[in-house]
Amino acid sequence: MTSGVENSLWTRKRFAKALALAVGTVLGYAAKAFPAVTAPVPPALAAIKRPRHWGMVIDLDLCTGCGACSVACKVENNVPMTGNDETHQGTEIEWMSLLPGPGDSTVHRRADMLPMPCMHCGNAPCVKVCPVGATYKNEEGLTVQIWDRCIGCRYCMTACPYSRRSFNWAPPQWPDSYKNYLNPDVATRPKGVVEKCTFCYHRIRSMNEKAKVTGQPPGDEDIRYLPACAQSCPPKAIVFGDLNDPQSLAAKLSKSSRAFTLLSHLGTEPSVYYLSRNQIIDEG
Amino acid sequence: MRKYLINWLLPAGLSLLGMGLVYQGLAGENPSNGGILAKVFHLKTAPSEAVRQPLAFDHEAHIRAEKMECADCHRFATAGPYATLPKLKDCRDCHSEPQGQHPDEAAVREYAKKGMEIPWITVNRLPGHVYFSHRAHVVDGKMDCWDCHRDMRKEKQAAMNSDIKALTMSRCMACHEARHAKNDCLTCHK
Amino acid sequence: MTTANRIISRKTFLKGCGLTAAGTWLSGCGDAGDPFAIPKPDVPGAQGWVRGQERIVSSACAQCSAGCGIRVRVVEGRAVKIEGDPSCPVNRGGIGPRGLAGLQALYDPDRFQQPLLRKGPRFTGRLEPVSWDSAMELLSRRLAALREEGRSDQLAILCGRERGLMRELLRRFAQVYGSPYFFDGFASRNGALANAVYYMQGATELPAYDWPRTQYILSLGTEVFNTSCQMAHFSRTSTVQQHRAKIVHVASSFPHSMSHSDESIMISPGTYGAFALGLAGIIVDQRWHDVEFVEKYGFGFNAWKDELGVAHAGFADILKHYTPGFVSELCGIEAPLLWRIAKEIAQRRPAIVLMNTQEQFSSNGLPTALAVHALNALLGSMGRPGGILRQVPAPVHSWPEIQLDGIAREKLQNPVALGGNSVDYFFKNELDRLPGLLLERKQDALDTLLLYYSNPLYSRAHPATWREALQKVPFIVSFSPFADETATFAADLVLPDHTYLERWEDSAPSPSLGFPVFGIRQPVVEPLYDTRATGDVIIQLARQWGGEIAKNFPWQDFKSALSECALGLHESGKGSIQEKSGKKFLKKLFATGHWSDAPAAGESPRFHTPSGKFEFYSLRLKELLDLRGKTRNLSPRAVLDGWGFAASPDAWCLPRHEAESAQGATDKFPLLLHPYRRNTYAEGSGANLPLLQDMAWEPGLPRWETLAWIHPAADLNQGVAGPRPVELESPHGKIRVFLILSEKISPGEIVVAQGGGHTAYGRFAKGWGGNVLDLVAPDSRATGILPIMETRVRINGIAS
Repeated sequence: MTSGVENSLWTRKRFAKALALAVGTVLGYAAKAFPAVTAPVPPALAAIKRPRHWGMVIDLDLCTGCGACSVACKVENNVPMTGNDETHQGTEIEWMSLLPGPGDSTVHRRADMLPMPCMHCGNAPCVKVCPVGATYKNEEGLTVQIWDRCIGCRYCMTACPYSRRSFNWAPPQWPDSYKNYLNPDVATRPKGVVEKCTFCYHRIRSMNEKAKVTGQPPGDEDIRYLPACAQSCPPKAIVFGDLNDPQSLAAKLSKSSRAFTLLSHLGTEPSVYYLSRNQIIDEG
Repeated sequence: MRKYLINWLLPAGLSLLGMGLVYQGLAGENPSNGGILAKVFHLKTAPSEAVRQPLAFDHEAHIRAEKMECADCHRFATAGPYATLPKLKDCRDCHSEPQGQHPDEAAVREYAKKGMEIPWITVNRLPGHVYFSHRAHVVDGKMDCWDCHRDMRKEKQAAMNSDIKALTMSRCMACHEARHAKNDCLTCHK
Repeated sequence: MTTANRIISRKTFLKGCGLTAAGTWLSGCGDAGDPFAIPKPDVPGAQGWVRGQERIVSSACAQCSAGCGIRVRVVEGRAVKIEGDPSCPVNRGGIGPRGLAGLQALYDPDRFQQPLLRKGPRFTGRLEPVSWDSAMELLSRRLAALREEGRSDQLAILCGRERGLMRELLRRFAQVYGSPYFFDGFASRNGALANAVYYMQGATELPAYDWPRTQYILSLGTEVFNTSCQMAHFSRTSTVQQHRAKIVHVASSFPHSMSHSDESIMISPGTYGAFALGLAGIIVDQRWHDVEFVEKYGFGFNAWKDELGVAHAGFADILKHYTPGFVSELCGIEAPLLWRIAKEIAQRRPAIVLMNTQEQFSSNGLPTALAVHALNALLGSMGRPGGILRQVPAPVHSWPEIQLDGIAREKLQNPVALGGNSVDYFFKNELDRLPGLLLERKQDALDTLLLYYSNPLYSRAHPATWREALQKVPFIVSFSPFADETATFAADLVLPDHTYLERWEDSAPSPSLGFPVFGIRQPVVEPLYDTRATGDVIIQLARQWGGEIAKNFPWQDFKSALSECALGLHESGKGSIQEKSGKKFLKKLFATGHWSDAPAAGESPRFHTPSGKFEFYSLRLKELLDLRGKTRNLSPRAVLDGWGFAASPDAWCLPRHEAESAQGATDKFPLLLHPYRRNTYAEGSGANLPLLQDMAWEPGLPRWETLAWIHPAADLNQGVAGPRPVELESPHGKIRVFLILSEKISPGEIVVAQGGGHTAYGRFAKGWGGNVLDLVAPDSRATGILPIMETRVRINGIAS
């Protein structure tokens, strides 16, 4: 009986361990035999350590105005519903909005629509007015909003020239069954807090973590579709990337002759660039 | 009307103002300690009273005598954000046949017979606005479990209350600073 | 007194402080203690998952017919995100707003959660829960008895799916059971374009457009790229299309501020056919057309003689009438513009001329579609790269051939319930005749009606007529997973299906790439409620009857029927998945979610027409006319008079322009109704997804309203100018809309968005806006097409 137990134990757990040990040893020898594979600091990690500047380029010549970016953003980031309630008119929360262009009927364009996320300005007006340090610029070029630090004074909303911030006038509410689809990677925001686009930082974070653990650097292609809006865009009009990496598509496109930023005369230095054959946005 | 003002609105307003000042003081005074709110939430979300786990799991016996490792049962500690609690399958690997005398061993087989998972109770829960990845700390940070958790190698039971040594933002940040890990808010906040 | 007062005031003071403090705390905290995490309800299957565990499941979207591949992120047994599958050739990683909102269909709080049986009369009675066993027994007994009594033709099935194996299964069931009354293809298959393709090319499937390689797109009708699944298909091409085709958009109105075009041209309503013929006239006159194609593959381009020696007109004869001067006056444009477009399109080939599905729903839909398709042929776009491709079907196995027993054979040949197949209607689909047929007949002419993906009480023309007609059917069964109008008010038995994220199915993408794509839908989460896949229900029903019927359904469940078909892909030896055994093939197919076959080498055009050629003059239309004349002993002229066509018999078989015949007097109803589908509409089924309804058309315009646009000059002094709710009335009904003035609308037209005005379909769909179809005439007249584009309406004044 006892020996049977011993036996079964040996065959199960211990056998697995022995196997793991053997495989480990072989791998260890392999690593020694090919030192390049396990160089002390893989170039992948070195690349991650270089400060990034996340930016986005939106090609208006490709955009069809379908609204996928806006819906993808809401699902990914647990943005509360507005619903058919008149008292909520004008209190809609939207991180990624489709705003109409100037609507000039004499000039025809593919889509007269402007997908607008937070511009993650280099010189962000919202950051300067926050009295509690709930919003700040981080070293990766993001304009960060920390929900639990916000006191809801809404100075930042007034300061933002792009109206890219929304206030939670009511606690976020979903029917019970809808709560199933809330993204566990993103906190829900309580009443009394200002919220905004994060460039889906939770996705950047998990990509970084994976890269660090596996030692595999994320390619530009992986990065390009990181935020939910960029990933869902059917015509791939939204390109995300590291503007500090001259090889990234986003950096290249941001230097295109079609590129421009919104309200550039204000000196906000947005990280979101637009591309259009027609310079459609009037300065001012 | 005036009475109403004095009796209700004035005190209400005053206390609101006070609350605001206190809040600002706590939250804004020193960004590195995170204010009192993080602590408050921690207290609220981690069960402070001892819970009764379904089985008396002897950590020490498994680790010392059987030379098992934490990740043998907390399988995702090296693979994902949550270390996770063991599934019935992990127990059945050895206990589908009796290994000793303890009555709870039979209980494992009872659960198996009923096709039911063992209803372990989670004792450590993070507040909803905090992101913590076991994988990042264990694999990339090369930390040991007992750097944060109670040393379960010496515990003869399953965790009955939060076994984290004071989970506060200041502790997290101090450690990050010491190990040259990022201390950007977004590293941990979601 | 004073003391007491003071004490109270002190108490109140303290209370005030306490309350405020508590209020501050609560508002910061929410109900559950942690304001930053909302606890999720328990779902079936969640127990098998460990905390934070996630999985990506490949499947296919079902929110429109585009057939995009999806990857669903499932965390702890709950679907939390739908993303486009980058490896699927249909969408290459993109996905439209409807697809993204699919989670709200899965987790719809007002879904049917178990079978329901009606207690009390329709429209007022309640649906009460019943077990699956007794529900199945009820249906099984009723259908078995009906068949035994020799009344199997009194079963009718409405199938809202246009393609795919579920449609095949239901059609098979109807046939084996012995009923010819299987109605399907609501959206585009019965449209004018599908018919034009059939009459000119002999194809029974819509064509695929080769967006990536085309040079010029002429889009006729409102917002093709916004209102149809072509949006998804067109979008896919942006990344590969380096040269950027020119898009010219011709329409009578441009309600959306966006126009996906490089040039927009406004023409008079209902003159798209004339516009196409005007271009064709210039192109032929200048000999810019593809002479080789016309000579080698064309039939009826020039005048021809039939076997009896009778001379018939050809397309070229018709074109002589459409001079630039005549056409430009008809369309309300300048002749030089027509010349310029003709020159551009002839020079920038390959070109695609596209017709919007919505424009097909008018009395001149077929002639217009014939004209558009003829223009494509003239430009040499048929079967050419960058033009219009034949959609090659996937090489799936077909199921065993149907074996009919005596009852079925007899009833399929001589059905009596709704009459036999008539040639009254030259369109194949007769769904929209159903209410008329039912109303003509006595009570109980039809005994049982099965509704699969169909909600006629909302999404067919004039729901009030349908309501009356459905009252004549004693037993109605709905398989809808959602509490739509027909299920809620009219169904006697509801056997709720799973949603598309809980069941096995094929995705059957609408034609798009030319080469075949076979997509798989599979359960990404465990079924939330006590629902069953309709495919399984039908198979179970047939099998328990035994005999000849059961033999036709040799599968345990729908998944095995699906797998049997899919194995045909494996045996073809072609395509994206190559495995040694069928079992491995299926495993790989289910893991990747789709199979596709690399583009076939260019094949010469093939036409399954009587002449074997592309028929500018449709011989099938001529046959129809002759047959009708023979059976009724009428001359072709008399037949056409009976149908209400002024065209000569020859012209009737050729592309031509016909004036629309709008319903309602011009003086009483001055505005022409132009129903408009936003990309979120999808036969009214998008209304229960608040993610879509929350989307503003434009900032500032109200959400959750049925918007209507008119030209400012068309305000007609009714004092209703400005954005406000008004009442709209047609000879057939009244609805409430929210009026907006826009310069981009043809004066005399009113564009009304579809999708509002639900009276059921869950808390989010119900109770806002108006249903445009309430305004539309119920009868489809001789053309067989619903005249939903040609109803006349008036504005009655400001609504509350």
